[in-house]
Amino acid sequence: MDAARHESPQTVSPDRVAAELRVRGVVQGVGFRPFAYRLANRLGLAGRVGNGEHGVTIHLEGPADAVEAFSAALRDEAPAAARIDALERHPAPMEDLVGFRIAEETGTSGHPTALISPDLAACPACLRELRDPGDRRHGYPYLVCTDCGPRYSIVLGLPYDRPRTTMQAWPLCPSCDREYRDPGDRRFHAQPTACPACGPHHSWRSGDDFVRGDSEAIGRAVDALRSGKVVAIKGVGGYHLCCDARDEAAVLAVRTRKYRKEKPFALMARDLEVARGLVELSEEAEAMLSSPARPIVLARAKGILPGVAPENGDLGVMLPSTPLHALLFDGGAPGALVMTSGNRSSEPIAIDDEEALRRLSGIADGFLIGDRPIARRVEDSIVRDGPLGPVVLRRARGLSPGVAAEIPAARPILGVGGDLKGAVTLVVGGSAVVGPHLGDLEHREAIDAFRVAIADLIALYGLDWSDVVVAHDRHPHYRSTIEALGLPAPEHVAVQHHRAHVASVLAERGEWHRRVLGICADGTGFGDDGAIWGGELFVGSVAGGFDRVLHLRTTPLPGGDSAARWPVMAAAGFLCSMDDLPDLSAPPFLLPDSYDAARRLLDRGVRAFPSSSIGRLFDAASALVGFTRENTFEGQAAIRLEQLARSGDDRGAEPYPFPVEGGTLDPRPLLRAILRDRLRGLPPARIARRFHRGIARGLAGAIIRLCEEHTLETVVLSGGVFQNGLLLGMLVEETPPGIELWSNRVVPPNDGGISLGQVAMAAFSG
Amino acid sequence: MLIPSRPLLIEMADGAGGKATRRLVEERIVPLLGGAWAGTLADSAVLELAAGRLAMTTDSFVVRPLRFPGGSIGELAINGTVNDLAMAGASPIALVVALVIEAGTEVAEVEQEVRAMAEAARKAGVRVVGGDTKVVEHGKGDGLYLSTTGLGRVAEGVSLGAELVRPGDRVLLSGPIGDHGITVLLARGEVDLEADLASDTRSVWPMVRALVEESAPSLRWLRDPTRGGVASSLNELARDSGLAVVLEEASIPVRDPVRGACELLGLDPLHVANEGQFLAVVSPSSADRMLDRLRATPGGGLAAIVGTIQDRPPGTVLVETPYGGTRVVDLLVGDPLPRIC
Repeated sequence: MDAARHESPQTVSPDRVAAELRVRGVVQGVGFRPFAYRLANRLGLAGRVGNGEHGVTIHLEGPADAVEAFSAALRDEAPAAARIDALERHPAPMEDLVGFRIAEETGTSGHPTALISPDLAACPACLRELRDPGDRRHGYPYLVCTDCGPRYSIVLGLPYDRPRTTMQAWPLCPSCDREYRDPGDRRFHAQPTACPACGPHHSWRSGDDFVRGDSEAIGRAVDALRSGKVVAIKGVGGYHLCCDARDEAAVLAVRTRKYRKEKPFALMARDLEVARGLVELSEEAEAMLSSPARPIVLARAKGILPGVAPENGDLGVMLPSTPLHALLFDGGAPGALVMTSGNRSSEPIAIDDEEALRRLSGIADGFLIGDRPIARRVEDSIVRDGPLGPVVLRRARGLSPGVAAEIPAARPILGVGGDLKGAVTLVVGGSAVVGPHLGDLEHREAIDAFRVAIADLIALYGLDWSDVVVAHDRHPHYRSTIEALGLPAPEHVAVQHHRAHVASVLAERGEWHRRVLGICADGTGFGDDGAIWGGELFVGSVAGGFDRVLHLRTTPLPGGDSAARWPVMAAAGFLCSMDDLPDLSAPPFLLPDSYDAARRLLDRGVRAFPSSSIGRLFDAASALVGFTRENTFEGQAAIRLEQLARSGDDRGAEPYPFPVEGGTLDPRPLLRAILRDRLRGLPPARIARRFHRGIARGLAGAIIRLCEEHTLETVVLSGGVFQNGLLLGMLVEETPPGIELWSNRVVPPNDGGISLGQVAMAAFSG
Repeated sequence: MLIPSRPLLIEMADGAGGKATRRLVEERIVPLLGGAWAGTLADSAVLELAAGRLAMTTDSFVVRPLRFPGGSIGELAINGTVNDLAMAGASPIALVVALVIEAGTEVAEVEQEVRAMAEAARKAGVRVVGGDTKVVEHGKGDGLYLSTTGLGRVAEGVSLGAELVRPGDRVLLSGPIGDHGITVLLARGEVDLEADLASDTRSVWPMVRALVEESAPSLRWLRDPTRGGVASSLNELARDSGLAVVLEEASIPVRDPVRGACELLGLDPLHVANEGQFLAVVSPSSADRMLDRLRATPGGGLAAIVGTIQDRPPGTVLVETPYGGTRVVDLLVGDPLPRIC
């Protein structure tokens, strides 16, 4: 990486040199020291490796070319879970060492800046042992090694060491201890290591039926799943609710009991082959699916699994990530399982056993409970392959906490993010560490997790609040804003929502001074003028700030958050300044009474909020082509519209006009065209397609004009609306070559990414 | 009765302190107070009282429109102050009333509100013992502002305060919430809903007295959730006691029209104003008895136990929903802005 600095090793004798390598990044708890040990032995180098406050330090003595080879191999062959952010090489005094050894922990003094790795899937070597009847860990759900297993979810403090993990209650048996101390072993200093003799186990509980013992408990869970029962399974970061995805009655039972009407369920497929049968996977998508993070991958469904994803052509699929999952499938669990967060509706995932039993007792028929406690709630990550490459939609298990960017900031900066998809980012020592997805901060559990996430980061990096700058959203009623203002930091910086979105893309790429056209297409964000923004075009840079140069025509939206819940209310808002409207209560529109009620609110100007939200425009369009009920989950109407549009093709799908009129992007011609085509009896799928194409062409027109006017070559796209892969693909098609389109790759384009943008803007706000 | 061709209007001179003022007060205000008037026109009212603990409170009333289904500013001015006394566990003894009238307001309108005060005072069993009248320039007021100051006697054995509230205590609510706030919105013509709804303005003292009679020592804390609604009152309780108030959403009475209007407006019924309701925190063992007693009192038929005091998380109001987990209920700061993406 660019940050590496190579200096000439100090020559002590003609053929032997001594050097010190300092490695920063994700290098603790990922098998880095054993890797260095093996590498040194292979190259015949003497010396030692140890964890320090700033990562890993390696002292090397040997032939200069071998030291050179070591440095190169350190990068090329580093463990999968490791991430080297900087490698410095300094001259060192020759100590004439014999052999290479791994130094003991250096203690707890000082401020550790080494990062803690996220939780990773079981590695192939561990899975082989799991399935080897001759291995002492055969069938043991808690087997791990330095290359895999839980990290963040079990950490109680840093440095990462067994006594500071939730494994502290299980002392190592002599065999495990031997491996733990053997630098040549895969389990050398594998903090969560355990075996059936010394480690935690699983139990099964279903009503009065209680069974202890891994294979018995797993057997009971498999039987329950096979007979259509709903099972709560303790995972790495929380409880999942599972059932046979092909058993409609079981799927509907989860829906009913969880109060989850229509939001799609994620699936876990037994293996890649089963996954390929469920969804269409690009090469990129398969790579993500099999990556050590094991995220949920969204892709086009190949068939319909009733109840799993109603009215949605996409399915979210993941592969087994823990030995427990592998044992369930090996034991005969159905090949495709619904795996949804163990909670009711939108509340955060349950992690505590007692809490899970209490909260999920009306939902799950049985509980597969592991003894190892969960220190931190971690949801499943969600990713998708898109027209601009893979996109992270939810950054959690396997991905967070992690460094998302390098930001040149002298002081630590904490970004508290937004409210509906809470996530915090801390910049420390130039690295921006993004914490995991926390959920909607309206929930008590999410607020608790938010506070813990902040306290964690501050404590893990040993920061003093008096040094920290806190960046937050401009929205005065965001819980995150209120919490941020209550933090004892000397400086608070408010960052406008959509500028933070745009900045998050540039932060990922370390582009602080590049002038860009930033387009944020979003649902709701508090604007500079107190209006609700969400269709914003900015010109500027992170360092120089962003000027709003164009936006969606402002229209009043009635009823505050109700306009986001009821697409017909958003429609009322966008249509209120248009004349000669047809009777929208009559066919084919059949808008319900709430449309008229919303119109009356608008007539009187009661609780009508001026808004330029493209997200709401999608809702309005969806209402006009048939989605006239309430959203049962965020983005439902817009997703429905995208799905409709995907069901057709571009033949005859001329884009609806979406021109720049009077200095704003005017949606009225587009809406008028929808009304006209609906009355003419055009199929909704065709209308949805033309709408998408119209938005894309309208934005592309603005891109061409503004890039020319401001001599720009780069366009940044962010905001929740760009999770719409169809729209993004059309925009890529409509944008002329020579203009580069950048979108989020590391953090989500939705509000889960704005904490990164906040810290980037704050870093340059002084 | 003769109907004048033009309505009689209040003029600046009516408030100048001279003859016109005296005529206004003596001829139009005092007579209309009727039996509720127990004062003199001297500078001060003099009351003869037995020894004991007294409660005193004052409140000003600014309402637009002045009249709405179920009530008017005059009734609010009496009931509001009587209820503030009741929240100290005090029976009302006497009130003084100040009127600030905007020049140009119809005299008939003022008279109507004076009659409304008289009727409310009669119902609440409180006497008006003094008052004051001022007139402000046209355009400098909303027709009529009222201000009332009340004196009450604290019932025997009553001791109230957030500091007396303990984990495990139960929260009682006297009836459905949001009626007043939504009625006023509807009366302003801002929300056009067909809603069979009226303000709940009334004296709550009879209901509070019932609780005091049932078990004064079990009563820990009282509050009438007016502006800012139940959410604001309970947030104050949580803050002042350092405890958590955990509500059960399903048990909170809300009438359908209120629920519908809130849904349309993007409001939480917990944030909507009430006039004739109160919250009581009572000891765990007394809760069922207290509820039965409240329900047996006229106007208390829809009372409910809506929540419990817990020790954690301190200073927080939570509402447990039948689905979707536990929501934090904030103190309302201004008009709720959209936040959903």
